[in-house]
Amino acid sequence: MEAEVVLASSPTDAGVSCWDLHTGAEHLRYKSCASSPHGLASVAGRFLASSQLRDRKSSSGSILYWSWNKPQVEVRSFPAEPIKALVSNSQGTYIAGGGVSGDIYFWEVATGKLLKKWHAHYRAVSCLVFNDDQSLLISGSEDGCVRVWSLFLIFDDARREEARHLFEYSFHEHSLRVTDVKTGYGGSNAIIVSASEDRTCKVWSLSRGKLLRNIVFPSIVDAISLDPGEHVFYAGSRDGKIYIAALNSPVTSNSNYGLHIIGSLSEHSKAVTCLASSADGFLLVSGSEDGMIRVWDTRTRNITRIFRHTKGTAQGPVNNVLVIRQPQNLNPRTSANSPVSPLRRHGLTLPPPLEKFANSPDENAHAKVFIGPQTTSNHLLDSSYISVQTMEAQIKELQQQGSSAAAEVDIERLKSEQLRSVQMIQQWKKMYENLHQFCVTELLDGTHTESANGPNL
Amino acid sequence: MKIKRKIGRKLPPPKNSTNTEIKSKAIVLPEQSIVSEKAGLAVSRKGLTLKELLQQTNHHNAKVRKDALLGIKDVLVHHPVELKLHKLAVIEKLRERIGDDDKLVRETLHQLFKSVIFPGCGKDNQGPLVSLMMAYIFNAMTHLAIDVRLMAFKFFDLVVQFYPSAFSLYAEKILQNYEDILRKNQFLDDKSKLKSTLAGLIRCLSLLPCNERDNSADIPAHDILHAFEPEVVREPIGFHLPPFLSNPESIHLLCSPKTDAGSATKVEGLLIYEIVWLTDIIKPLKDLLPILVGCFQDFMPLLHSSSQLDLQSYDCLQFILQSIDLIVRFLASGVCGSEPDSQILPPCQKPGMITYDQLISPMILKKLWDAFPLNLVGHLSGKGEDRIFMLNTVITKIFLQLSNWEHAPSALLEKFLEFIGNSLSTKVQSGKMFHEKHLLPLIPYIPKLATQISGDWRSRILKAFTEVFKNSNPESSMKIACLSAVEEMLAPETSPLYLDANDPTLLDYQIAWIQYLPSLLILLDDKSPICSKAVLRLQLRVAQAAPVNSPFSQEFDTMQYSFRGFFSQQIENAICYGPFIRLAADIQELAICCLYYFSFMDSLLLHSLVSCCLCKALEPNLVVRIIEVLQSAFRDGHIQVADYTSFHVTLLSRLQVYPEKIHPAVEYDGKSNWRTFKYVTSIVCSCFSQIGDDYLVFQMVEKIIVDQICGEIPMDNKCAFLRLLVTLDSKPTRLSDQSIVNISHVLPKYLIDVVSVSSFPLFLYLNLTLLLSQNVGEDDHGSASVVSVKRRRYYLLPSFYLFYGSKRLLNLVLNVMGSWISEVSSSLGSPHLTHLSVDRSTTVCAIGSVLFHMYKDVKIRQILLSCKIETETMLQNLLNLLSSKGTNLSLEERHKIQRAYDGLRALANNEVVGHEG
Repeated sequence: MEAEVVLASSPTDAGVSCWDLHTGAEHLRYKSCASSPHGLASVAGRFLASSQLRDRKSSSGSILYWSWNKPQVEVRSFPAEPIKALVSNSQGTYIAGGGVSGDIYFWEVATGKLLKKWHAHYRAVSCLVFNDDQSLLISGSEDGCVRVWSLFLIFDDARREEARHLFEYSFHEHSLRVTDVKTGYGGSNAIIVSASEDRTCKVWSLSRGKLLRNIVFPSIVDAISLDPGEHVFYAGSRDGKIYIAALNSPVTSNSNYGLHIIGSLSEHSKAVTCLASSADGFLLVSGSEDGMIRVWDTRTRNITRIFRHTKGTAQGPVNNVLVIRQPQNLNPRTSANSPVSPLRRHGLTLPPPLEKFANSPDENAHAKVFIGPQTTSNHLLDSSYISVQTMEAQIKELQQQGSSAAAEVDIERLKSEQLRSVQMIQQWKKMYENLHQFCVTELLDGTHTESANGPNL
Repeated sequence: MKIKRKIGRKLPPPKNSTNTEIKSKAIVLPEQSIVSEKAGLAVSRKGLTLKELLQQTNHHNAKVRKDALLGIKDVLVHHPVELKLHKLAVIEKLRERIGDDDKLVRETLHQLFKSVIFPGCGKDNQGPLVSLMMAYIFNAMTHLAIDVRLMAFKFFDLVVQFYPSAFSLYAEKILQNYEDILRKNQFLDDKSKLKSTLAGLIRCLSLLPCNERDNSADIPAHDILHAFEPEVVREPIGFHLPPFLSNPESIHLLCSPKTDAGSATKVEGLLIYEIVWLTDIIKPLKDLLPILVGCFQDFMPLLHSSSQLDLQSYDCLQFILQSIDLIVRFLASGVCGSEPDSQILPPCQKPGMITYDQLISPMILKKLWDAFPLNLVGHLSGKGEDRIFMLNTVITKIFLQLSNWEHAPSALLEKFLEFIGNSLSTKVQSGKMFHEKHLLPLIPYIPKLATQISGDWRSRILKAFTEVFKNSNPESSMKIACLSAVEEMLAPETSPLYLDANDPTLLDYQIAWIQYLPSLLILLDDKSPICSKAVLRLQLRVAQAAPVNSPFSQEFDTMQYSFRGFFSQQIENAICYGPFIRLAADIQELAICCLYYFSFMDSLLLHSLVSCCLCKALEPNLVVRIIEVLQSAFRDGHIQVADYTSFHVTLLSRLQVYPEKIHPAVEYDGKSNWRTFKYVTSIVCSCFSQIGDDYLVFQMVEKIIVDQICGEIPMDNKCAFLRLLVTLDSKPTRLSDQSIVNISHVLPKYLIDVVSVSSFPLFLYLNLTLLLSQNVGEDDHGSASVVSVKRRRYYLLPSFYLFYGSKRLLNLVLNVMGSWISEVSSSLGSPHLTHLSVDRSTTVCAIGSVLFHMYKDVKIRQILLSCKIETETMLQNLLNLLSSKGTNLSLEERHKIQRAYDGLRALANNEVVGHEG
């Protein structure tokens, strides 16, 4: 089992706490974070980003970065308006943020450039999520609308001009604020589940663009988590229960709670505000208003572990939990204070802050998004998606570094390498011939000799 | 003279003859005649079997044929089983008579099919039945005699009536036949025949698919989400399409003039006949169109010559126009053919509105346009005018259905616009139901008109429309049609003109519509739930889509002043509930959702809401919903803190609780709302705890809550406020000294009330707990006492929490109770205070009980042990009471008080610690 860590943050300034999901060991606590709901994101496991709650009056927002091995904030960015929901795609190339005015901002992580900004909703964006192939961005808003955005369309200027609207779908069956949206597997054929303050969760089909199921809960659902097999989904509600709603079974009417709801997990806690599940789906992590993070075993429906987010007696609510694969350079608390961690020596730095405004149009015209082949390398620090600007910058850097002399040296080295390779090939050829010869004689003779493993081999 | 002849006198048989008679008991001969023996068979009134009757239908005599048909009817009516068994055989024989030469026979046959056979056949296995019929119907349609042909259409009409799928199977051929018969132009003399033919055509044409399908309502709740799609696609009503055709996208791919590679691959998978079906049907429809227009024109001389339009011709014209309308709708709707976009768009961007009118050449309909508007010469009677008006509306509708009408010559366009504008405004003046009904089809085109025309006409039509919208009967279908048109013009997704600040005319009207909504809601009351729902839905959509600080959101915010009346109104100290209370739960839910979107809520609106919440008729669930929505609104800063808190405080203090026991079932349907109140209390507590920093909130509301606790409110409400106080309080208490003193005056009374309401005899309880375990006592009293124990705990707990926080409060309370005991004892001496003596023992016992419960709580006991002085004083007082000679306590009272004293003494001396621990 791969090590997974639980991250939790709260709207009060209690930092981001971090535990090992399976052992319960506490890791470093990242300081000074008052995250907005759905405002905590791990950028491809490379670092941690969170949008901050700010005063109502302040006009600009704030997004903070932490690297895994330092409790202090490393990078601060100040977008044009307060950002509520924050999400990064799985490769960590982009960060999307939803603003209070209903705009969605789309940044490139490596350069911090604001690639795109568009008016997505009439009211503040409350949650954002990428679908599993990262091509669609799904946003929920306080106006009760769930919209699906295709990144291909967003970045395709020609087609955008043609299209009557930017979104792929706009679902507005919810009558109140959308509190959470989750997607299933299957790219653009997946289902999405949205929860709203109108006490319903709705299941939508991305392929058909229509409502598949409407489930009414006994209380407002603030968080949902989909089972990896998509048999059920979990809905954390304001009455402190986590309801289990069936997706794949026929209607069961014998439940106490209502149609499609097959059971609940409850421990008399305060409102459940956020949910996350481990990669295998057997553990469900719930954050609650009472400041506790409970880990449930979904098979036995029992609590296996409880973490306390806030220290001391103060009870700060938790509003974000994340479960991610343990980052490579995450040190347990014990070793956190060791002066020289190996990665620091490698000069690991976080990307620059996110820009406030989009580029000037001429520069923007240049910014064609390049999607490289997906690498299966384990190097989390390698991003496989980089923009043209980044590549050009790298090329320029290389060009400046490499003088002609250096190039000659390089050529020499390559030449000798080639020579060696040629020799190698000859050797292999010879070996092959010998082997062939041997096999042929062996076959022709039809006799089995003990000295088959001859000196040739 | 009489001659007597003896005739026939027989000779006696010869003696030598042989007797040839054969005698036997019975002779059984095999039956020879079908006529002879019919016992057990179904027979008609004339005694003929079905088989015989069927044979007779071929008889050369028309009368016999007719009688045979009547006989068959007779048999089938009386023996429905016969029909079930011989369905196909009967039809196979009878269909030969479809083309019968005799009129009466044909009509009898029609009757027979209509009244007996088709209704009796049921819906299953219609395929063979229809195909049996159709062969002969087609035959008859090409018969030489016109009457036979007309009758054949009638027969087909009958088939379609019972089996709508028959049309889709034979559409092409049928349409061609209609074309042929209408082309011949033989009808001017006999309009009733034309009428009946056209009626059949309309029935067929209305089965054509059109893309105005409303699939918003269907949520396949019972499907398994990840299962395969069910094989059978739901058919549009009455029309059996090949499965793929139910999907508009695939239809778009068809019949396209150019088929590019992308769509070709998509089409590949479809069966040939499915593609052919639509292309086949388009051609006859297109051919039919000019013929219908021709028919229409045939009537023109009549119109121009006479001053009166008789009913027959009017009906014919009406039917002709309706047929044209249906064909145009089908061709223009884009269901039948459109260009697929070169790119394969994601499904959401299907070019819904792009339709292809090139299928309808403009020349065909031009004659129709030329005739518009229809007018009769000379003076018109009211009826004639109405008829002409109706025809004109249908023509206008046809015109508006074309998607490219805005490119029509301006003179023509103007003609129609004038008609629409005039008819809308005359409607308002006359207010006639007649006009309303016939204007209805035009209303859905108003949004399109508003977007596509400009200038004077636009404002005129908008004005007329607004008038119609406001003045139509609130419960009429006109209102609903207007509402959906308004929704289309206000909805941001569908309307490109939404919120165009550069368009002041429209903005004015839009605002006028929005302003009208709340008053409409109140006007509607609970008379038309559908309409109320539509209004609220529209209101919600406006609210959701209104950008902050736009004229729309301002409009919406001001709407709350009139929206208030929808909930409740205070009229001279009496609360007058609005329609909200009386509407169905889903509509109430919608109304509550609207509340969230007000960018601020004034206290009056909250006031009317709280009176709704206090209304007994409102579902408890909805009270909770209101609190939830207000909480969300508050969190987003839409409500002032003071208003928000006073809403909750009012709710808690005035919500009446009806316990089951005290009030009989009659008044409150036997339902106690105690549980609801408990739930509401817990929600209000959590709302308060989420307002912000506990300390500040406490500071803010302390006085209000304490005032409420000290006020004259029922025990349940008091308990709720105590709980609220405890929720916000901390340990040690944040209560100010003044508050503590105030509370200490009322708390003893509250505690005594609690223990006396729970009505559990103290002495028994004390005995049992001292002697045995609690369970025995509870068993004695059954489950009811378990409930009451739980409930008492619910009431006592908040005060105990206060005691944990403040020892001083406990001291004060003990003092007060102690003084009460001494008051009792002193009062006993004076005879004139007899009213006190009635409950003196109960008071004393109750105090004892309160103390007992306090001792049971481990934490309180510890505090109590530390206030030795107060407890001792109280015990002393009790003792005094018992020992005082002057009292006139009855024996029973004395006994009770003695019991209480003993129990308390034991508790105070810590004797039961081991027991309780």
